[in-house]
Amino acid sequence: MAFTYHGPDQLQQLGEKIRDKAISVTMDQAASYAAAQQAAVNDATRSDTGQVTQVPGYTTPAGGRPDDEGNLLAYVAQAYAGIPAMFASFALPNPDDCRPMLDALYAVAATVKVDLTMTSRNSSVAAPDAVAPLPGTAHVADIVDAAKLHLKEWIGNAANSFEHYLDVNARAAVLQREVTLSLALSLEAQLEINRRVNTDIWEIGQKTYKALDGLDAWCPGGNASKASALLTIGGAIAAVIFAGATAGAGTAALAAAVSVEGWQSLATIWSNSKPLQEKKVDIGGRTVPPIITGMQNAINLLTKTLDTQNQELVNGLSKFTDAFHHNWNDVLIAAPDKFTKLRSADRDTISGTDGMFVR
Amino acid sequence: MEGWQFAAELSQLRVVSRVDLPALSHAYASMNQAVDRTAGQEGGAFAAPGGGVAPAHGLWSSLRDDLQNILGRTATNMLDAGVVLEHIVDTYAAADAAAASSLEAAWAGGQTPGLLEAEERFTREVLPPVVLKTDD
Repeated sequence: MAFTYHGPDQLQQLGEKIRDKAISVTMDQAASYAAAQQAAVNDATRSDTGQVTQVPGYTTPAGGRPDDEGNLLAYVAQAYAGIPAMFASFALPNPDDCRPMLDALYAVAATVKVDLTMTSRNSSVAAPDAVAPLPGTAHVADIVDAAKLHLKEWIGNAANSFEHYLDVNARAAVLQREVTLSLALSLEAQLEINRRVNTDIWEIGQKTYKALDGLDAWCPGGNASKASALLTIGGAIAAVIFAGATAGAGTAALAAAVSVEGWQSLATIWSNSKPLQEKKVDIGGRTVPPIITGMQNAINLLTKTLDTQNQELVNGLSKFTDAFHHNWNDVLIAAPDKFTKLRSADRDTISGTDGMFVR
Repeated sequence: MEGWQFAAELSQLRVVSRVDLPALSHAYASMNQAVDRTAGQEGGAFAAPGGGVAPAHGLWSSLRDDLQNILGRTATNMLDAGVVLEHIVDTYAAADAAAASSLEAAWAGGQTPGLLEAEERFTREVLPPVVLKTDD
């Protein structure tokens, strides 16, 4: 499913369109009009008796009855004035604009080792398609191999320590790559959450408008107008894991646990994520108010599910980060003392048992 | 081992100090910079509805900073190791005139003798500057 981004202006306009439709249907449809009249009268009573009104800030009009046409229009306009902001508040920058961040991370991973066999990106879920190393760089393992060949005749404690240092750096590079891929994966997940928020709020708006539009043709005794919004946000993280697996990443990249006891890759931590979940939310009713209530319920569900996905993202990142810090010394390798102490050593020291000499 | 034979072995060390370790350092510095560049767009990636910031942002950027610093420090460590090797070569050469003469003759005019095929492709570009996050 391709992702279509809806910007802040589009969301604002969608909200305004729904607001205007809700007002016009209320004024045109008999049942909604009657319901609004009753609500206005009730709120006028609340206003007059100092109670909190259902429409925030409403006060009984100075002239005319609360439910006459002019005052009712003002009441309904006030009641639905907040709708555009409900949609505009979900505006986010286009997730696809962050693609260079992912490309950079995958290029770093490929610089350490090229074994990402992922195919090109072809769905709404991002999957790495940049598997080339950073320009002008050589692979870490290739360089280490070359250095070791040059050093093969050099022995002594410092020489041995230095070779060992090169080896552990090569191993550390694998862990650094795992951190890089986990960063990429968590970023993919965040961007997928953002895509689905954008998609779902648009879906809610479209279905709300459709339900309101259905009331325009409604006649007394007819069926209620009804639409269903399909919310996809609940499957955001699972979709990223699934996309990584099906894109050919396999165990080599996204789904692998690193070879350090107790340190799992983020993909492994998330592998128990709930499967793809879509929720259908009904938005409908015989009058405008239940449709707007349905819209609000759908928005609340979107917000609640978004919170759950965010929490899952945070929990996974926390676990991974804790393990990473626990294994810090395996990832950042300092040159051994036996080697660095030769920094200003004289020839006798260098050629001694503790130094570096030709075999 | 003395003279030209020893010079050949010193030359091997010099290749490591002047070619391999700078190439490693270059790779790590490039990775450090690439990771650093992700900071420019993270505001957009971790924006939350209502103008807030996504809860994962702090953890993510902290992990990113850690990785960036590790890559940057590894780049610096590699250069540092190269300095030690260079000192070892110089110290041996200073005590063996024949070896020094042979070594410098082999490296004269910008030559780098004894390169492996793979090393011919290693970068000789100027090292990109390392960017470290200061709050690490």
